[in-house]
Amino acid sequence: MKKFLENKKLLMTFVTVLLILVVLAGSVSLRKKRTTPLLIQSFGNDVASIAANVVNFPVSLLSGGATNVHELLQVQAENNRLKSQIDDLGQTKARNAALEAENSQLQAALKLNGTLSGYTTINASVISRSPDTWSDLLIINKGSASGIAKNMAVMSGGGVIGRVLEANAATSKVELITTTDQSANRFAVEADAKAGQKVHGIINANTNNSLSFTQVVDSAKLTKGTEVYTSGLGGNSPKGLLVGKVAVTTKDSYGLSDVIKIKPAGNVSDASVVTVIKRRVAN
Amino acid sequence: MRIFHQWVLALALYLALSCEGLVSVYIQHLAIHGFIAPVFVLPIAVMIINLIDDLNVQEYWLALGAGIVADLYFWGIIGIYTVFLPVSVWCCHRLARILPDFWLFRLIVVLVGTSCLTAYIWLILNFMGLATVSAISLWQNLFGNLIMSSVLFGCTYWLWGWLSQSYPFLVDLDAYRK
Repeated sequence: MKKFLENKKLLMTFVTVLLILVVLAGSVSLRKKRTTPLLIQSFGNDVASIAANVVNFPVSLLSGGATNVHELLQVQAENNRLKSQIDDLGQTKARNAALEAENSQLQAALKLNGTLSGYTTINASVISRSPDTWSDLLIINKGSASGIAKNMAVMSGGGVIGRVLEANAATSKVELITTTDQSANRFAVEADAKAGQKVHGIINANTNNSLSFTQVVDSAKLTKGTEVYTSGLGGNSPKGLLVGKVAVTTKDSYGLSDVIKIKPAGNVSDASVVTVIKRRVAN
Repeated sequence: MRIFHQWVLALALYLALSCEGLVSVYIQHLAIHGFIAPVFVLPIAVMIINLIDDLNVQEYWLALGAGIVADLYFWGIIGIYTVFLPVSVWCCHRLARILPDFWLFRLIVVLVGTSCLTAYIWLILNFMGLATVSAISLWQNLFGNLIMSSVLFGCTYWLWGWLSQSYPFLVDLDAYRK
């Protein structure tokens, strides 16, 4: 021990490593606990995002052009598919309008100000991503000034892709649903089982970037292709956001609990434009 | 204007930070086709600058500042680039004095450096519980990193070399010329 304390280089290395670990642990803890980042951090992130927005503008124009050409090539097939659905559209719209009016009247009669399924949306563009492939963090160009707050659900491509991890004034960090962060907030979900029963559980991410529907009491009720939605329970996200479809139902390696693999509905790996979901009912 | 000249390199690194995030967004699209690679524009820039200009001690402060800003911007935590960038400055300054003044040796240093950074990020994410990443994924990323870092080195080597020699950080070249 005396030798260790006398060796200045060794002692300095030890103190430096300790300091790095303390700073890392402290900043991780702050990121998880605080609902809003420190003012200096928020300012730094917003300043860093200015250049990202400037650089992103011409790149997104080029990328958008390429996507448009690709979509043009597929327009005939899409047109044929849409034509087959157009007959049902008028009827569905009329029925939706009638149901919406009836729903509003019933809510007024019950003096309900809002339900778990009520929400508003905020559209944003993805301007950055963490340089490593494991963190599953996106940076979007809208922040608390646009009404975004921590833990709001984020959608892209027709399904949930994650939630807001940090809301700065002009930017936000989005943690993808596929994150393997052990302390990340998980989505409470539900699915319509056989005989109209509801099955509740939570969404977990596997190490191979796939999703699982866990803590389900009886998975036998769920068949392949069953849609899984957010349940609105546990606060933060509203009810009825599509998470994915049941891909396969198996047992875990011990054969004890059910593992229901989900095919994500959202565009997790290729999100360039996202929609942040703001729940109407307070948490 | 002379003051501005001394801060050109810092401004360039600020733009490199933005480019790194943007390239990462588009490179992620290639992951669908099986190509997985981290994108280290900023660390490669810092390493090239310090392999070429091995005398400027102000680079430590630049690396530390860039590291803190990048860490908070990308991950919201401090300790990834904040640690790696100053350490890489120290290593590059020492290596630049013993290695031949040739781009191939600098490329090797950059590849070794970015591989160490990939392994360091893997270690930190697993250690802090921020991600559960297998060793297989680490190997895939190390392989992808060799390709990606070689491409980024090739694309930016001339630029960082020119900037580090023409606009060294917090060094007034005009004072020397006079």
